[in-house]
Amino acid sequence: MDLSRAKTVLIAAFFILNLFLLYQIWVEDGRDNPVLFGQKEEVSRLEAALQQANLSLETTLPRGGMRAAYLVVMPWQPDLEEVALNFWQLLANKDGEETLLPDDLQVIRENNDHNITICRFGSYEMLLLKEGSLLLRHAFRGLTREKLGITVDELIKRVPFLQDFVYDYKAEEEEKVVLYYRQDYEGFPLYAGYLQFSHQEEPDGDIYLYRLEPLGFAEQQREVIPPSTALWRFLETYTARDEVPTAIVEFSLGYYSEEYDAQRWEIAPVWRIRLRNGEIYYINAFTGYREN
Amino acid sequence: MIERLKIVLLVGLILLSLYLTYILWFGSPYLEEGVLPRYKFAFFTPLPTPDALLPPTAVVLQRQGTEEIILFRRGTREFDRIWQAAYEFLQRKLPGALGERPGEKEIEEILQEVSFELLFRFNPPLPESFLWNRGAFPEELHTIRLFSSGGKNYALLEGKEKVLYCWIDQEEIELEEILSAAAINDAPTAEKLLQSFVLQVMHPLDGNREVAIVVPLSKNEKDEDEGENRADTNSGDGVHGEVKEDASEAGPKAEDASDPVPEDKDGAAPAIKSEAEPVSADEKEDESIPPANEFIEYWAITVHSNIYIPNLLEASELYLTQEELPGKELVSAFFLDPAMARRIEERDGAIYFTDGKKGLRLYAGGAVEYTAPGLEVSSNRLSYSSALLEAAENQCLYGGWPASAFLEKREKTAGGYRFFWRSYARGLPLVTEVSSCEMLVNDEGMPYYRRNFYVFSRDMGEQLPFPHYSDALFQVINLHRELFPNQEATLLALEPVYRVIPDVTGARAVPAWAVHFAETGRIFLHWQTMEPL
Repeated sequence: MDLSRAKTVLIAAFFILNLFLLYQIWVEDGRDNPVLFGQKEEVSRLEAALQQANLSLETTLPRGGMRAAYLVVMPWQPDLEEVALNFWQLLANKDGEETLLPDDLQVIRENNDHNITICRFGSYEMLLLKEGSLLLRHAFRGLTREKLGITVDELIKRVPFLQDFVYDYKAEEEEKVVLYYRQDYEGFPLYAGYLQFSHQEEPDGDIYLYRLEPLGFAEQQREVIPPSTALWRFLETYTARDEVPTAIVEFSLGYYSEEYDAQRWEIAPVWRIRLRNGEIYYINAFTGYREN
Repeated sequence: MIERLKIVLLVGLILLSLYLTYILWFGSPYLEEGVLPRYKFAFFTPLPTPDALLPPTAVVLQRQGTEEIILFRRGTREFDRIWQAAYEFLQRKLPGALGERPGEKEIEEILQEVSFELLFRFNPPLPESFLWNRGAFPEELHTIRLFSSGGKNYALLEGKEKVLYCWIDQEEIELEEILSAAAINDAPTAEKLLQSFVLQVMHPLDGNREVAIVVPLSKNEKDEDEGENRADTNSGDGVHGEVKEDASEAGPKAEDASDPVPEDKDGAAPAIKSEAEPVSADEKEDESIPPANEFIEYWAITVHSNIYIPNLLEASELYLTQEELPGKELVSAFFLDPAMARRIEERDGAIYFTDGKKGLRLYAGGAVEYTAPGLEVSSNRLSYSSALLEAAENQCLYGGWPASAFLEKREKTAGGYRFFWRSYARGLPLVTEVSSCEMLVNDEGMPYYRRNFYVFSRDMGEQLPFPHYSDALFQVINLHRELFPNQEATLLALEPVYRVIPDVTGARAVPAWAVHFAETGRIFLHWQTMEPL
């Protein structure tokens, strides 16, 4: 027996074994399954729970093991004249039908119990709620659906305070189409900030805007709960609407909070679960509690 | 050399394969070594003793053979001493005492022979289990009477039913000890309001109004006393609130009065003169008739419950500050892991912490509000005594047991027991628009908690006496005459209080008479100017 050769064979065998083990670990980490030997059982339990909830999973769950910190934000304090001017210039001048100068803009403000500020300019009506959400009514009067995309792209590109919004998804019904944009901060989706373009067949439509001013991340980073755990937490509280089966079409990590009438606040990372029927759920990625 | 390297490499690969197998089997180590999250189970204050948890609203001592009533008020040293002594005494004696359910007549007979009586009134009621373990169906006690009669000691516990406990031993000395423990000499005397009386208000032309209490006589007494015991209803001595026996001579006018005259429970009509009428020359000759340059009016007052009013009460305005609690400790107490509670700075200066399930709001002024909607239930199964104990524990855990506050009210709802506390200063309640503290407790926990105690800071002036309560009663009547068309009033409550008036830097506590007529609702009168607050 050649001992040296035996050693070489053993080295090769263990090297291959170690490669195999490393591969297995990498695969398991990707699936975010904490326990290898319970994997099949775990997956089948999750599938059964999804089925019971009339849900199917049409997206892959992202990798777990991430760390995140609270995001500190303050509400955006819009200058209504500036907002009106920006919308006016882009919406009223569409197709070059009319040329308007800033001096032509007349902003009429009304305060209703200090909760809503109404601002009228031209044929537009803008409502600013106390919490900071803004609604521009009749924004797309006379605009065909075909031209909606171009107009929206122009708005996002040219209006300074809309430039940190990125396309999120689209919801389409027979007579209505809604384009959803979300705020973005340092590569993280900020679901709490939204921009919606709602277009009807009339043709007309509204713009909804809620914007936050991110101040930065909190110092302490923590591990977020794995997507599978978030999915379990979601299934614990989910009730299917009208028992109609639907599917999870998006599962992503971002930041979400309700709209507060506050000076500044911390936003927790959330797992966003979006269903095909348009419902959206946010699961706190630290605590596992449902946020909405 | 190569062979050695091979051995080292082989050993390394074997060890690595073992480690990787371990990782694969048991999972990766945690990214961060967190400490196990746990509540910071640190009480702000120790748990109160059971006697401090729900002390009586008032303790009244009456000795036989003397009309003197001694009233021990909450928040005074004498009150604490007498209640603690009585509580320990009852805990010791009740288990060995014989209990029976006597009729009202029997109780009356025993009470007629008592040498002294100590009365403890509870609102909210005291769970009997706080005193002793009676076994099944413990009562919620509204009143406890301690007395000695015929060489025996008695404790009459009044809840839904009245149970009389009696023990025959030489323990009367112990009852006396309770009294001496209270340093009775320091305690203020009090007056018990009659079930019905008449306010006689004299308006002389010089403008110095005089109000007096006139006691109606029963029919028997009236017959006996007729013609020989005519009390002067117009003594003119200017002593406010003097209680005068009989108004039989005010009566002639009352008999003529068109307004209905209320009868007291014995059927006697109190003397009432419904309108100011000029007095005839004949009447002038009678001493009991006021001179012509005055007019008198009479108001029949029916008292709804037992009301004790302390005599010679003095008070001054107080300056109050709001209780300040350390915010960081509170957050640690409410949240399993404080780092999970995100912070929201509200525009009014309040700071709100929430983990998505529960929220804690710390107001800029010092108030605390906590909500946990997930703990609300539709049908609570927690008993009153357990809810009370849990509330006390929560109070100690979330800010501490308040030193000068007492449980004022409890509401039993389907969702649990709602408890309300109120602060006291110098033995008088600090009356605010809302109670100082509110807590909802059920078998799931504590869904709601609000705490906003005021703390005594300093006196704002000299101590001045309260005017007689009769002045306060008439002042309210005078301010709302239209609500008393028959010149009859039903008095529900009357007490001296501090009315809290918030200002920029804190709050001012103004001594006041709190007068509660059924016809008017509760009205606060400044203790010096008698103006409504």
